[in-house]
Amino acid sequence: MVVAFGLFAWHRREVTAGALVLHMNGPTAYPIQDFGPVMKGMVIGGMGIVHVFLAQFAIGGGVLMSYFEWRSARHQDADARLFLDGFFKVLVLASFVLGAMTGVGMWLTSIQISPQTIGQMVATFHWVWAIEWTFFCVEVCCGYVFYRYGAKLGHPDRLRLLVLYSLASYGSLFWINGILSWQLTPGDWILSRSLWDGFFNPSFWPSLLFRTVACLATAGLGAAVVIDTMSLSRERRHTLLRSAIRFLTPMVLMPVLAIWYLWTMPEDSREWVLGGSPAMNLFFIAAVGASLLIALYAMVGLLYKRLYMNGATALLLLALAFGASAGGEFVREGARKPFSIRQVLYSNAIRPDAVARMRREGSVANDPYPLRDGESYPTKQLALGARVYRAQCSVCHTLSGANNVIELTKSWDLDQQRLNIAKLQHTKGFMPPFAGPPSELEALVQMLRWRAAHKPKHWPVSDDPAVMRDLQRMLDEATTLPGSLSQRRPPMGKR
Amino acid sequence: MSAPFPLDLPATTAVYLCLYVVTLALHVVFMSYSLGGACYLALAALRKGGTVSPCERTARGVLVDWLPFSLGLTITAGVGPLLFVQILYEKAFYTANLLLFYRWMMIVPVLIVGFYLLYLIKSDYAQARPWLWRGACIGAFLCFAFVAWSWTENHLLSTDPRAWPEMYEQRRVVYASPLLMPRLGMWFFGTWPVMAAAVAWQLRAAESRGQSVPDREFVRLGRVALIGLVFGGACALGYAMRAGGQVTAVLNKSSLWLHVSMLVLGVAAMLVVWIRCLTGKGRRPAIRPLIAGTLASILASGAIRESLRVEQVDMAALMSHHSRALQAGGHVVFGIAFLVNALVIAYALTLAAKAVRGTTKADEIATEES
Repeated sequence: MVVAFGLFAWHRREVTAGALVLHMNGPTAYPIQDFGPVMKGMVIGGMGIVHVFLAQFAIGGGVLMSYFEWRSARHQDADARLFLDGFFKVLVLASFVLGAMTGVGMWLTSIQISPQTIGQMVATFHWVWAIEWTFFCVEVCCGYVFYRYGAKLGHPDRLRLLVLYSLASYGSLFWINGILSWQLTPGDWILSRSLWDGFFNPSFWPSLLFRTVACLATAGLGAAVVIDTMSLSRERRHTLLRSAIRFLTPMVLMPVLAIWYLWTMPEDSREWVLGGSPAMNLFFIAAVGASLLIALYAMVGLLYKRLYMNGATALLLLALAFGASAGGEFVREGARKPFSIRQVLYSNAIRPDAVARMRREGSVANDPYPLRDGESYPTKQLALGARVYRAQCSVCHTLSGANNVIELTKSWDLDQQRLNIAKLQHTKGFMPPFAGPPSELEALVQMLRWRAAHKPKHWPVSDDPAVMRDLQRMLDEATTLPGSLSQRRPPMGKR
Repeated sequence: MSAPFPLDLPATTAVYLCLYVVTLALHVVFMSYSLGGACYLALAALRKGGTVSPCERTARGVLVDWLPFSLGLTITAGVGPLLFVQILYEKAFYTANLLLFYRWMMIVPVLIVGFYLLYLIKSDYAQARPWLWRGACIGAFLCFAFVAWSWTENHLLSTDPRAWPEMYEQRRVVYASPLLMPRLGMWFFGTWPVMAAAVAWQLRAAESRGQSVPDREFVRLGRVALIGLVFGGACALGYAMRAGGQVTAVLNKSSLWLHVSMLVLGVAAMLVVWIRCLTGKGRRPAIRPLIAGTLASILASGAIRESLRVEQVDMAALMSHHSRALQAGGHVVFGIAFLVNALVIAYALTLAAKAVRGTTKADEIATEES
C-alpha cells in the first residue's frame, strides 16, 4: 500500500476533462449471453432487490441494536439485552451471509448484464468503492467481535462496538449511494469530470436520506418479528415492541423525501415515473401504497392505539416493506432509460457520441463473436439482423419471452417497422436511437419479420436502393440524439 | 538489473498491481484457512469418527469454531482484489466471466450453501446428529472446492483470448485446459500449510491462556503442512512443465529475483519449522518464523502469479487505461479512510483481546475456588 501511494505521488498528473470516459469499441467488444425467456433486467433486478433489502436490514439493525444496548444499560433492562443477542444472531445469519454474498453476486451479475456499464462505473469510482470496502471491513470485524465476545464484555464496550458497527454500515451506504445516484443524475460531472461533482450529484442527499428512513423502518419490522419469537410474556414483548416500533416513525418524512427525490430527477425520467410509462408508474404506486400502509399501521395502530403486533402481522408488514423496496428499486432502475449511465452510456452499452460513427460504420462490423445459430438463417441479411438484435436490443428484450420484441413489433406493417425502428427514440422516449446504417436497420426488420413468420426456409433479400435511401432519410430525421433531448431542440431544417 | 516487479512497469500500472497483489494476499490467507480447513474437516468426517465440538481444543475443534468467521473474512477480503482486477485486466476479466456464464454465477449460491453448512457444523443440532454433521462437513468442502475450480478456470480462460470466440459459439461454459488441474492442485495443496500455520498459532494461543492441547494435534498439523508443501510443489512443477518455457522464462527475469528469493525462504522456513516440530521432543512449532514464512510465501506467490499474467495479456494496450483510471480522484480520501478504519479494526480487536483475557481470568478464579 505504501509503495503504491509513493508511486502515485510521484506520478501524479492533473485531471483532464474527459479523461475518464473509456474508449470502447461499442457493444460488440464482449460476448453477449442469451438468458432465454428471461429479461436481463429481471436477473439483476431480482438480485439487487434482495441485496438492497438485506443491506437496509443490516444498516438499520446497527442503529437499532445500539439503541437497545443503551436502553439495557440505562434502564437495567434484561429483556432488551436478551432481544439484542437474539436479533444479532438473525442479523449474522441473514445479513452477514446472504447480504455479503448477494453483494458479490451484484458485481458478477452486473458484468453479465453490461460489462461496459460496470467498467465505466469502476473506472470512475474505484477509489470510492475502495473506501466503501474499508467501511465494509470494519462492519464485518466489529460485527463478528460483538457476535463472538459481546457476552463477555461490559456495557460500555458493547455499546462502543455496536456504535462502530452502525457507523461503518452507514458509511458503506453513504459511499455506495453516491455511485448509484450518479447513474441517474451525473450532474456537473458531465462537464467537469470531477469525482466529487459526480459523487455529490443532485439526487445524492434525497436518495441517502430516503434510504436511511427505509433502513430504520426495515430494522424496526425485522425486530418485531424477532421479538414475537422470544419466550417472554406478552406484556414484556409488548414493551420491547414499542421500543422497536419507534424506528418506523421517521417514515413520516418519506413523502417529503420522495418529492425531493422526484424533483431532482431529470424531467423526462420524472414524467415516466408519474404516468408516462405505465409499468414504471404502476411500480411507483405500488411502492408508495405499501409504504403508506406500513406507516399508517405503525403510527395509528401501534404508536397511537398501542396495539400489540403478533409475528404474522410483523411478517406481513416486512413482506410489504420488501415489496416497497422492490418497487422503489424498479423505479430507480427504470427511470434511467434510455441510459444505464445518464448521458454517458445507453442501456445497450452504446455511447451517445458513438451513434453517429456507428451509423456510418455499422454496429457489428468489429464483433468477433459468431452467431450460435448462424446456420439456421437462410440468408446473410437475416444473420446480420440477428447480430444487430444481439448487439442493440438483447439487453432489454427477448425473442421468445419477457418483453418479447417479436410480439411488440408484429402488428406493425413493414413500413411502420422501418419507420419506428429508424426513429426509435421518438417511437418511445425511453428507447435509445438506432445505431447502425440502413443496411443493418433493414436486416433487423427482415429478421423480426422472418421470426414472426415462424422462420420459413426461404426468405427474400431486401436490398432495394430506394428503400435504403428512405431508411437513410428516416435515420437523418431522427438524428443521433436521445429522444428526450432531440424533442427539445428545433428540427434540423430550422437550425 | 531491473527494478523488482511491478516497479519495472509504468507507475500507474504498478500502483494498481501493488494494490491488487497486497489485497489478494490478504484474501488468500483467509481463503486458505477456509478451503484447507473445510478439507481437513471433510477428511475427518470421512474417517467416521464422532462429531467435533467447537469447544474442543484440537485442530478440528478450532476449525469448527472459526470457519464461519473465516469465510466471512474471505469474502470481505475478496472484494478488494475483485475491484482492482477490473481496473487491471478489464476486458480479459469481464470476457472470462461472460463466457463461463451461469456456471460462473453458480459460485454465489454455492458459497451461500457452503456458508450455512459451516454454521450448521457448529450448531448443537448437527453436533447431536453425526450423519448430518459428516454430510455438512463434506458438503461444505465440495462447495468451496467448486469455487476454487471456478476461479482457476476463470483465470486461465481470461489469459487465453484465442479460445473465446469458439467457446462462445459452441455454448461451452466449461473451459478445459491442460493447465487447469496442476494450477488448481497447486493452489489447493498450497492452502494446507497456510491453514496449518494459522491453526497452530490458534492452538499455541490457547496454550498460552492455560488450556491444554494434545501433542498429537501439532503432529497432525505438521504432517498436513508438509504434505501440502510437497504436493503443492509437485503441482507447481507440473504446471511449469505444461506451460512450456513460459514459466521458466518469467522466473528467470531479473525483476523477480526478490520474489523468488522470498518464496524460497518462506517455504524453507515452513519446512524447517514443521520438520523440527515433527522430530523434536516439544512437538510445538515456532510460531513467529512459521507465520513470517507463510506470509512471505503468499505475497511472493501472488506477485509471481501476476508477473506471469502480465506476460500473457496485452499489457501495453491496458496501460493507457490504467493511466486514465488513476486520474479518477478519491485516492486521498481512500488513504485516510484506510488508515482510520484500520485503527478502528485494531480497536475492535483489542476489545476482543480484552474479552479473552477476562474469560481467562474468570477461568483461573474458578479453578482456584474449586
